[in-house]
Amino acid sequence: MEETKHCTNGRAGRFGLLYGAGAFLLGAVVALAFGWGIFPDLMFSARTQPIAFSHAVHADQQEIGCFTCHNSLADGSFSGLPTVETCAGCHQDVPPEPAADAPKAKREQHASLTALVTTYIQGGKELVWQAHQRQPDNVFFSHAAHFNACFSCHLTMKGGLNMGTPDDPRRLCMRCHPSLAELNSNMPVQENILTGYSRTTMKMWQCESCHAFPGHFSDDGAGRTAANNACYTCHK
Amino acid sequence: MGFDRRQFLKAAAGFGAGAAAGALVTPLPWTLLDDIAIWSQNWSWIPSLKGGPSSFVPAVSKTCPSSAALTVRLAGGRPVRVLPNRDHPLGGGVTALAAAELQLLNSPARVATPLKRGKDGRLHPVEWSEATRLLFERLEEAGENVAFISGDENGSVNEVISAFASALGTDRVFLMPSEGQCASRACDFLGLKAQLGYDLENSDFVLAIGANILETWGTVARNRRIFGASRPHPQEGPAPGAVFAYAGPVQNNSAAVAAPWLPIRPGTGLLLALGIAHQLIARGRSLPARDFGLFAQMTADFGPEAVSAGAGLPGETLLQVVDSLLAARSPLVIVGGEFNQGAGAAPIMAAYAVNALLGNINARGGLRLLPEAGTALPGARDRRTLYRNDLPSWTAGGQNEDPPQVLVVHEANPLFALPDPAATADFFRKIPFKVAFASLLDETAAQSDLVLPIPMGMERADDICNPYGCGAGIYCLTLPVAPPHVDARATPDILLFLARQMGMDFGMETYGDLLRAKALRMRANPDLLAAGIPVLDPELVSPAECVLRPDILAKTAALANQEALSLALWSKLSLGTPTTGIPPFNTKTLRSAELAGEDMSALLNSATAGKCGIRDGRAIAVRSGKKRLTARARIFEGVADNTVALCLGYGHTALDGFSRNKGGNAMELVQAKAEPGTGLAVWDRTDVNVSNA
Repeated sequence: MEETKHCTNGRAGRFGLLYGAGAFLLGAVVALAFGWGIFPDLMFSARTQPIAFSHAVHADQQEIGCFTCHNSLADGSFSGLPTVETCAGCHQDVPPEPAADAPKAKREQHASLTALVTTYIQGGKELVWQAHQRQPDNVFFSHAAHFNACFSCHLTMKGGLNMGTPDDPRRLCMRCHPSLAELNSNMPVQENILTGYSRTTMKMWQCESCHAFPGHFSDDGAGRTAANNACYTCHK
Repeated sequence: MGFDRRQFLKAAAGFGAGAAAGALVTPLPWTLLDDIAIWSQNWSWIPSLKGGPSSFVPAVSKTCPSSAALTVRLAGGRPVRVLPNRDHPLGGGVTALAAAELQLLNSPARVATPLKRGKDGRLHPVEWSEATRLLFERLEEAGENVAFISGDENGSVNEVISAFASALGTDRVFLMPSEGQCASRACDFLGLKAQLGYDLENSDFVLAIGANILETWGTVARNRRIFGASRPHPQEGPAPGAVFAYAGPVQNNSAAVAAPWLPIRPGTGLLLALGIAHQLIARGRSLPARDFGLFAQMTADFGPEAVSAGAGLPGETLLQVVDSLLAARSPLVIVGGEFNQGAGAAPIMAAYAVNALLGNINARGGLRLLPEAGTALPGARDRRTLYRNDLPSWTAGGQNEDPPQVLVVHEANPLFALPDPAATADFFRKIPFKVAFASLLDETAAQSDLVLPIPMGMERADDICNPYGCGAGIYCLTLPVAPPHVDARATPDILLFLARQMGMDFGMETYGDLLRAKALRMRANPDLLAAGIPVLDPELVSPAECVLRPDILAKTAALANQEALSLALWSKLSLGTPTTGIPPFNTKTLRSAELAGEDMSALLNSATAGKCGIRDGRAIAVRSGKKRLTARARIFEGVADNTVALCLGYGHTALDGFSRNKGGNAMELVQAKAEPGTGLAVWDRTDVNVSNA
């Protein structure tokens, strides 16, 4: 009886090992697929903008500079998103109705512009834009300081560290911001269901890619250092 | 071969282990951990910033003595940040105290509701109706036996207080001691019906004696703007457009950037001014004043040797200073107290004479005689009249008089700010009923029988008229940038309400009515004032009838004892005022060399410390008569010889945990004396001794 049991256990053990290994592999594959494929999107819910907006039309076709809409406030801080007053500077009237056989994109653009003019500009309602990047409360961030510090070198220096020109600093802006300038529609704002922050909100390591860059700690020749990585530089 | 329970369990375990292992190389656990950490920062009960559309409104600080013109940023209608107002004559920058003003609105020391002292000796909340009824009854009982103290030097609230006092039949209305009072009394003795103004904007050589013009004296935000404009960055502009020199016993913020700093012993600004006057006369300068001959004779006693012996400034340095003044196109000499009070009128009278000898009275870049603003409320007394009541003289001398039945204190903290606070407290204890109109529960409010919460500067409509130190007559209005954070009511509105109850008729029902009348009195457009645009008065007063009063100056200018150890008091705006205490916003600006734990620092230079046997970092006792204060010795070469420097602003026993029991109140070492010749209380000369504690 003992022998039989041994024999049975040995066969079963080999199959068990196979089952176990197979199951292990299956589990790992499922986890990898879930972790890389499904989980990242599972954590976010989409938030819609009040109207459809095309950066491509405004920035590329109409050649409107970034700072026309994304300007700084009187204290140097960044206003970030334009108010309806800014839009009203160009969009006062409802545009003419497109032809019935006009492309879908044209009809959608008309619908969006009509909503902007009638609901917001003429209706006196403020546009509540969904921000792609809003810093946490415990972070102090000033665009004014970065304009002065980063722009003073990276728009003029030679070589790979040049990130644009004073007239077109977009490459430098895109060190932190997602590139929207060529988008013909809204980039979806994805809100983390646990934290409430947008998916494109910068993480601290991204800030440190410049702040902790060793070259930034040296004197620039005019008695200034280009960045400071002390805690209190960013945190209150 | 079957798939039994055991194999199922093995497969399940394998699947689980595989899933766990696989998951470890995906973002899942790490992102989840990160998100949970962030999520834990945003729980609903943790306060969070509230955004909103940004807007900017003008304001002028009523909390900061500099009357700094500001711009306040609102987010969603809530004030969030104090910024400079560079378009305003009183603006240019933000002082350390003004920067902290918004946070002070939420101070833990805020008086949130009227408080009445109960039978248990403690303050208890009461309704406004009960508080005003109690005050009404006490004022009715007291009749004319009432006194008032105001801590607002520039506002029309003093018109309401003085008119109310007049209607009660008393003239006992006191302003807290200030530079403005010393200057006003100096003008009285010089025969000038004017307020002294300083055209810093157009001067190319400013010599500040004692007056800490870049930190605490006068219109500091404006002074700093002018200093900054005159000194462009070395790589960006030409050489400095104006020289700022400072003479004083401590290398304070003005001295730190001055070129040069002239160390002199505390309270010897008068000697230096007379020494300069003597040199100017010796070089042929004269004045048309009828007592100029006597003045010239008197100043002959203040040659370089005498100034060196008394003030500790080498004679050749004095001569260099005079050379510089004479070489300048528009020199300006400013004399003031090293801590903005208690220096008396004589030093300012001497400064007037020096400026007159330099030929800069009413000249571009010189000392200007500004017309004084009148009153708009019937029965009110003007500021010059109020300055003639000398508060320290009253509290010190009043110990032998009948104290008032009721004392009303508006936005002032005399129990902390006056010299010899213990003696002041003794006097206050004899007053049966004390009322404090206060925003924060300071020492005076804490000892009062009734405390009435008033809005802070950012929460109320108020005005600023000719702040001392400005270069031209100026009248500004400031409107609330936020509703009161507590159940507060403005002092003038309460007094006007009580006045109506008591049958007084001032022709105005609210403070707003008075502000409108005042605007018209100042020939200003109320709408422009409300938009933050001040009205300037370009008129100047003639000095034709001026006298120099050498009799007063001779009595006051007693030479100092070179061997005595003197106390130099100094102050800085980051430590707040006696009514605000140390703003929590500014605690991060305090270095351990200033306040270590609860020990304040006493500054001495190495020569003085060596003479006294004091070593750096040791606890020492600073004694003046029977008074004693302990501090930690700090060797600092920015202190004049034979001088111990203590910073004011420490040693609160009330307010909040950010101010309470931090160091000691240096005013405890100081006693007011009558200035010979003027009778004004002075407390800028205190001999002390130090020893290891």
